[in-house]
Amino acid sequence: MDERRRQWRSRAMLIVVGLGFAGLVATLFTMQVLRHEDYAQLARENRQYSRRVLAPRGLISDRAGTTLAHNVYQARITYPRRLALNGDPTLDRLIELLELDRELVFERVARAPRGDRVMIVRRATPEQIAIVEEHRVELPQVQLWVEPRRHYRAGSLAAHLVGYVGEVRRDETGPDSPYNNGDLIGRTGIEAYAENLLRGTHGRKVVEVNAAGHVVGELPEVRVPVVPGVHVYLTIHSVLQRRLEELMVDRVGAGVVIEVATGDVLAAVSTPSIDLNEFTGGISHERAAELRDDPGKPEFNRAFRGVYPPGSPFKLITAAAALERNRVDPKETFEVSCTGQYRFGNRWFGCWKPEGHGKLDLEGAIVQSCDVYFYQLIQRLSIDELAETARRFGLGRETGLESFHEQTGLVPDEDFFDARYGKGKWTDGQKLNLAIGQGELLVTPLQMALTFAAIGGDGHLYVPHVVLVSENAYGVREPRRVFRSTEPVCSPRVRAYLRRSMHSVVADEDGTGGLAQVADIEVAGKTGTSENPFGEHHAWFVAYAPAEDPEVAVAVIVENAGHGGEIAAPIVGALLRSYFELQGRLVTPGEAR
Amino acid sequence: MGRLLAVLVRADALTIFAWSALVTIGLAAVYSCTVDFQSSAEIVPSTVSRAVFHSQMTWVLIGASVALFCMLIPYRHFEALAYLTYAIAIVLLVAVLLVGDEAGGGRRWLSFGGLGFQPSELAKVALILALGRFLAARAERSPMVLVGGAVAFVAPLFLLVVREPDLGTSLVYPAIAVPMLFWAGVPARLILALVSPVLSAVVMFSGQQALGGVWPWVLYVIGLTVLLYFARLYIVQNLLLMGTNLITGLAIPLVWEKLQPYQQARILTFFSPSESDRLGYGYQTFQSQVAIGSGGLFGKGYLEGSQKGLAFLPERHTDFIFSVIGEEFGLIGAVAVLSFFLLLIARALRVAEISKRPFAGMVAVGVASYFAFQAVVNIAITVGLLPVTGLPLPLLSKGGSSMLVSCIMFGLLLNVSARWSEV
Repeated sequence: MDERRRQWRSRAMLIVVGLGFAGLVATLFTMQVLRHEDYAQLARENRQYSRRVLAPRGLISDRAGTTLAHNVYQARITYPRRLALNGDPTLDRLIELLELDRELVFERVARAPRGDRVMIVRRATPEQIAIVEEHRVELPQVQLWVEPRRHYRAGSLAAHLVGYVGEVRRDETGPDSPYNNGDLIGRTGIEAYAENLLRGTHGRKVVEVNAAGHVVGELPEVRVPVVPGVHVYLTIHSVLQRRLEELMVDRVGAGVVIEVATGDVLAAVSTPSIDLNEFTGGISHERAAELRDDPGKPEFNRAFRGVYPPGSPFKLITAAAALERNRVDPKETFEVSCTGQYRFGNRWFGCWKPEGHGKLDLEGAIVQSCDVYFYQLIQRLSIDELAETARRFGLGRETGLESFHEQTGLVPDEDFFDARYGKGKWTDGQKLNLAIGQGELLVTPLQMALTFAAIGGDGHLYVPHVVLVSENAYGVREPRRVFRSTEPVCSPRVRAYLRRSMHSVVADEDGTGGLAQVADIEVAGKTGTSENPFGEHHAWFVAYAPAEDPEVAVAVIVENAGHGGEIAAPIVGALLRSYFELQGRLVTPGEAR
Repeated sequence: MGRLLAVLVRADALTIFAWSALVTIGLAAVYSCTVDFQSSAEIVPSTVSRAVFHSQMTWVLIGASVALFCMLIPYRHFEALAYLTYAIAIVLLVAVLLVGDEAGGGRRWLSFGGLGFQPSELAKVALILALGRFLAARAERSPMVLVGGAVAFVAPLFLLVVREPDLGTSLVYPAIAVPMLFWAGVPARLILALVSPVLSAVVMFSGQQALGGVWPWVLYVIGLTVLLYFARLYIVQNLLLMGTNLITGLAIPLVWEKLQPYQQARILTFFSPSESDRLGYGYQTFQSQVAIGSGGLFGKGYLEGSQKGLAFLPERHTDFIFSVIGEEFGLIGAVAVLSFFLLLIARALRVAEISKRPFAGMVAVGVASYFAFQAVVNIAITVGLLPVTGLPLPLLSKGGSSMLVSCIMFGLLLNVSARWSEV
């Protein structure tokens, strides 16, 4: 090969190599000079993570400080959403290592709400955590998040009051929302009502991590401190609450215990109930549907939201309406004595006792709960007069409880009947049903307890409370404020009469509430058996004790159970007995009669 | 001693300078990988042990001695032993398939008393010597004889190494052989016919993967058309060449898109089981690009690379050593490395040009091809132009076999440069 040919071949090769090198230099220039900022940003993002520091959710405890809801910590395994959607093999490796259901994981990824990371495992077992830690190098971008989970120490105790938390929905997250994907939010009860207090303020810190995801440092200048959630003390007394729940087990109904002097809800039971811990880890669709379709409606809070005809306890309101307006002499007996039924116009109205009560005065009619007496008494009152008195006693309107979506019930007046049946299209016969607490009347167990607390107490209606004190992370306590109505429910004279009658209901031999008696403590109350067009009667008993200077008022209703005196009165008796036992006030041992 | 000095004095000084510069930069970068990283809050211990640096130092010293040895023995002896060397290489490559150590999803290593080495590296030297002797003796023969001979030498090596499997290394053999054929007088148009379809496929694939478009390939086709116009070939030859180029280039995306993502990953994994499988395809390339790009013009400073220090950069002391240089020394450092390689290659081609004896020129061209191909492919991988295939950067990457072979190449180059005038 001659010199010239060698020279051009050598040059040609050098040019080819030179072109290759030039291409590399051009690429390097693009990356290191033109796009340097982008890559520098990527390098920072690689090592610096802005991490949310979750504020511990505030505790919920009873009035004595017994914890009802607290936080336990669990590990969650997450993966970058972008990589997961693009079918990154690392995710396959994770699924393989943890032996997860591939289909389920990808379904989860597809359904996941917006955000940069998707959750692969919500509650990692210690074994799964160990596997992830052990295979760190193979699983870049896989993160273990330790996060709090809500735990209800007493399970179903006061379930409707405490409420439960759930994961935020997609539409609850967003730039203006304090929630991120996977955060917990109160869904019912106090968890929902006090959500803003309980949540606290989540913090943020920027940490530096290495390739394995281990934190190797923190940038303190960009730290947002955490403010833990507020500790909420409920007004309930968990021992009393548990006792009432035990007494009502296997019953459908509700019970409310009110502290007369403050309006504090000492216990509020609605049965059947739920196990709160079932909801915290994400309840299955099947189980949620099962609960929803349960005819007993276990999620429904009957104590505050259940509306029932008040039945016979309402006779006290009818009596008060007549006494207050001097339409009746307490000693007076009506011309028609009770024979078990009463004819009004061309309709017959029955008394609950078919054999009849005979001639009775007002007190006798209350003690024996004679319907025929009240059919005649109501004829001296207008519907509006009865409605006005009922409202003064707190019925048919909101009690002012912390939001539990409480129902107001219904106290019908003439306008109501005009609206429902048309003007002049209804008769005074409607009054007869109202007089004995039937007809269109509807009340909640909470309202009944408050009404009777007012009769037994100082005559004023108190605003009920469920939250006793909220105490923030710095120890600042904000107690609930006690409010009572400015006007008393009735005059002292009428109230004294009602109190005496109610005492007799329990104490007298022929009283209907004898089963609510408690040794050493005088109880005053009123039975009720409200008619239920759909089945067995609802059994009511509403009481307060001690009769002379009451501390607590109780309302109990048992659905479709029969007579109040037989079914509800013993429950109230046993509960009051427990209450005074706890107070150390019972001298004589033994069960309530 | 006097003879040694005489040879040293006659050896090409610029080649020695380029070698020294590259080895020094390589040592500095490997050392950097072993240094603990100072993060914002604490010192992060390096996951690469200091022993790795000590081992690399040792290999540089061994490599320098071997280079000296290879330089002193007149290359005529290498020429005489060329076919024997090739035979030994074949035996070792067969042996590695049978009794090699399994690591990283393949058999690539042979152990002798605790010391492991890769026969596939040694085979590069064997190929240069054997093919060099074969082509030098047949300078005036028909091009088809030369090409046929080259295929006969390359094919066994290629197939044995593909079996290991180590596709990255196996591609080095044809990459060495083609320039040697060109040097032996095979017409450029024939070389073009051999190389261009492969190049067409590579440009299409890399263009789509790294630059996200077909425009690099379109540019390539335009360039080829211009080249063919000036080459003044027969019309049939022209059509054949264009046809094969268009077919291979267009087939690549069609075939690639037919594949599922995991199949694509598996193909890339097959090329390089140990690297791409472990962290997922794309991760290494991404981290390497981030390291280089974030280095900027002047780099983050020696020992200061966070991509390296926090272990984001995979294989940082071995196949991705260039990324460490790019991160810590910036564009300046990266271009410096490229310049020293270009200097080494240019000097090798210059030696080939002036060598009187055909075998000497063949060796010089082979050595130049080796450095050129491995450097370009390795760096193209680190910047994301080519898929990760596990090819070390000669003289810089940590690794005994690679360092040893690079130094043998360097020694042979000095050898022929010192004896260029011998006939």
